[in-house]
Amino acid sequence: MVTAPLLALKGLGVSVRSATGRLTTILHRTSLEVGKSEIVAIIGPSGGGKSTLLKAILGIIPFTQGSMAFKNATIRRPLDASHRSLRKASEAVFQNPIAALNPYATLRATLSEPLLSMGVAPADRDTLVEMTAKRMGLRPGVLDRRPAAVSLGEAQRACIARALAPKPALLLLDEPLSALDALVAADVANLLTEVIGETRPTVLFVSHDMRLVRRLATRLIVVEAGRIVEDGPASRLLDAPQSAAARELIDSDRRRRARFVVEGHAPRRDPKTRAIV
Amino acid sequence: MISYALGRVLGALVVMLLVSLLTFLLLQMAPGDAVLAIARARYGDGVALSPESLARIMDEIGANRPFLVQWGHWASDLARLDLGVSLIDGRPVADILAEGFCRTLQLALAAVALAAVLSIPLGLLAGVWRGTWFDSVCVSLATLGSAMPNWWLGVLLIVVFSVNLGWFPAFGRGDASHLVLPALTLGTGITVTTARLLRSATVEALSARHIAAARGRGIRESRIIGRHALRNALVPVITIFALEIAFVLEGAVAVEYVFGWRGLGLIFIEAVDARDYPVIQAMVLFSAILFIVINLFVDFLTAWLDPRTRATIG
Amino acid sequence: MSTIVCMLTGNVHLQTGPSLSVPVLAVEDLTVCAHPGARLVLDRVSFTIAPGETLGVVGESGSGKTTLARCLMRQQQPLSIDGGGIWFAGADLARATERTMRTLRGRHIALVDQDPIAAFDPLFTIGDQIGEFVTSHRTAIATAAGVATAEALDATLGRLESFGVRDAAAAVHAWPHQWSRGMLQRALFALATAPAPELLILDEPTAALDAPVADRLVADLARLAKVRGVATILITHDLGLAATACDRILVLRNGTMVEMGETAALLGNARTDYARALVASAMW
Repeated sequence: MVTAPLLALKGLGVSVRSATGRLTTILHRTSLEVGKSEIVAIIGPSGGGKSTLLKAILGIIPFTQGSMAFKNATIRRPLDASHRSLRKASEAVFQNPIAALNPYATLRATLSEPLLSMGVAPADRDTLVEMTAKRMGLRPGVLDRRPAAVSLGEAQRACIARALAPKPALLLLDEPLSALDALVAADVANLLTEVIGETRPTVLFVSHDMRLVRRLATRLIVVEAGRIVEDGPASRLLDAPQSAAARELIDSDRRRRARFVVEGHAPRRDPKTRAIV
Repeated sequence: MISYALGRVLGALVVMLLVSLLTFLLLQMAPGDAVLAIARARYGDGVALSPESLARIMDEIGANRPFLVQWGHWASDLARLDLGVSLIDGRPVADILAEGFCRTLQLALAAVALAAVLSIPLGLLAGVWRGTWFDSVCVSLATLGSAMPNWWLGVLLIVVFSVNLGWFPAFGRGDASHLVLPALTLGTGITVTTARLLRSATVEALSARHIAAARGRGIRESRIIGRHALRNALVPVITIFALEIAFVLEGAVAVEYVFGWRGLGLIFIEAVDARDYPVIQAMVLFSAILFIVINLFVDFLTAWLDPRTRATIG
Repeated sequence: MSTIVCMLTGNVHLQTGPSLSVPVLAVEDLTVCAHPGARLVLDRVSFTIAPGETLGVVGESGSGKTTLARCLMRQQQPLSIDGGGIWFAGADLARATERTMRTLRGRHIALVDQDPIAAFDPLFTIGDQIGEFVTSHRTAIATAAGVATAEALDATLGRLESFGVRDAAAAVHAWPHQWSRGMLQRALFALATAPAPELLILDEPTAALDAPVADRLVADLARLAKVRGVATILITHDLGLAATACDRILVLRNGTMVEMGETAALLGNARTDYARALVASAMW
């Protein structure tokens, strides 16, 4: 890699004290470099530490060993000045969109918030919000509703809109589809693919959904038992996984897909028009 | 678990020490001159008091020494269970308290036993049979019971069972028959509160998904109610029930008054009335310690009943 | 009363033959509503399921699929069954008394709940609750496992291990909150299948499991069902999962049946737009 990585983990580890007072390491010293505009999928069995890795980067779980570097600034302690600047430059989308939104704010208020801090004039703000909403496939009617009154899919679209509005350098996604129904999940996946393609942030995402991984990732990291067991470009890893954990996931995905093409012409959605063909 | 228990006990000891300081302080600052009160009690109200006798009393109770010295003396005596003597009749406070506590304990044990025996089946079954006639009767009785002042029930019981029927003595202490009416009066109050709580806790427990899952697995209904619903319902009720126990152990003034049962409640009221400071201090300290001990006990019991709390406190 | 009823009442004679066409369960025009006048939660749902067959019930949230599972167990309260029949072993469960249902639940009809954590009482150890289950169905478990009744508990613990719970005899001393969701889910599978019920209902059984594990477990269950002649209903929002294990798939939407057919046929050429959209959204 010629340019310096956007984010580097240098022996990052997380240990937590369990209820019985025993110290358990849930993420072993992990080193990793993520370059600009890479789209990295973190996959692996549940309970293996995928989410921990993401949450340690975000500072939701404090890391206990090692350090990080973001844009060449070293992060030595959780939530120190450099860590705060990483948090400022990054946005996250989580599994449960309703819980992630302020229950008292309308979607319009939620979407205007980043514009406010960017100093957009009030008159332009409404127009911008409505444009964003349209882009995200949100009906104009839902903008003045609160999270409790919108569907999970609409709430997740709003979360994605909110996350992408400040043009973050780093976008973190934690199981962004797993709370959504199949039809909605497919649409939200389309949306994610498109908006990430347009704004080209660096993306780190955790998903057990191999469809999203296949669709989105340029690079795959396989995490198992708190360690990275495999790391490579998506094109290579999806074809010839080396680790057992990756092979499991990829094989099961293949088997599933095989059922769908058995009759030769399983219907698909056109990725552009989203029409069924 | 053991370190948790030790920690809790140590913490409780520190709280007790603070409580002793606070009660001492509060009473020092309380209105009403103890020296004058003692003098009046000894020599009569209208009598002119000589400065010498006042000074003697002051010296006797140590009222002219610095505050911390007074507290230090008091606390070190306390550690030897020497609570001083009553300012009124000169008897050791420890004796007065012990005597009162024995009487109160008798009454409390009888009342609590009655409440436990009645409220657990009534509350549980009313919850299980929610919406049936049994539930309606229980809820109505419980509402009636909590609306009725305790002393009034006492008077009612006296009129019916001792004046009219002549079954039980109305007043004083003696054999077990003396205990029946006051215990019934006090026990009814606790039963009503506990049964109502247990009923709603049972309704809540029965609506839990794991109860439906156990039914789905074909577990016998008697087992589902007797083990799963009951244990889940008891967890929130235990705290309140223990507080009820603490309240009656401090002495139920109204019931003691109605039945002439001279327990801690009456002793306390009389002491306050006469500004008998050593007795008041001892009583306040006693009730504080009682609450701390009972709370400690409740925490241990809850931890035993609910393994999840054990995990978070371990 | 219809042909299905006649078929079921004739069950006794037919059972001797190797017929696979006699359904274990026949649901006929099942209609459920929350309260009079409200939208129907289930609207005239009908299907049959034969011994050894695995039927997938696929739908999005709010489609009524969990209500369907609870109706079959007669645990749909506070919803009420307004019409139709649930014919099982010659009796209409839609009109069965609670007493009758208690003889069926767990032993003849088993349900694996969607939330494995909520399925266990948090105040009792897992072993305690397994013991309770074994006590309730000792003979059936022993017969199914081919052991003496005294060994029913050991057989059940062995089952737990075959479903992937390591060192079950020691592990069950723990309380439910000390187990992972996945492990609890496996324990539920083991318990549900232990007394060899005629009808097994799995309601979103793999929400706690990774896709490879879920696929394998459900495929194993379907295979087991085939060998033992257990009729299995797999309720899921995940068409991909249903596709790996089910013989037939029923698509449910807003309480009504959209389409039902052989898995391959449904995946390959669904008749309705909704089913086609569902297939398209399952594999992209």
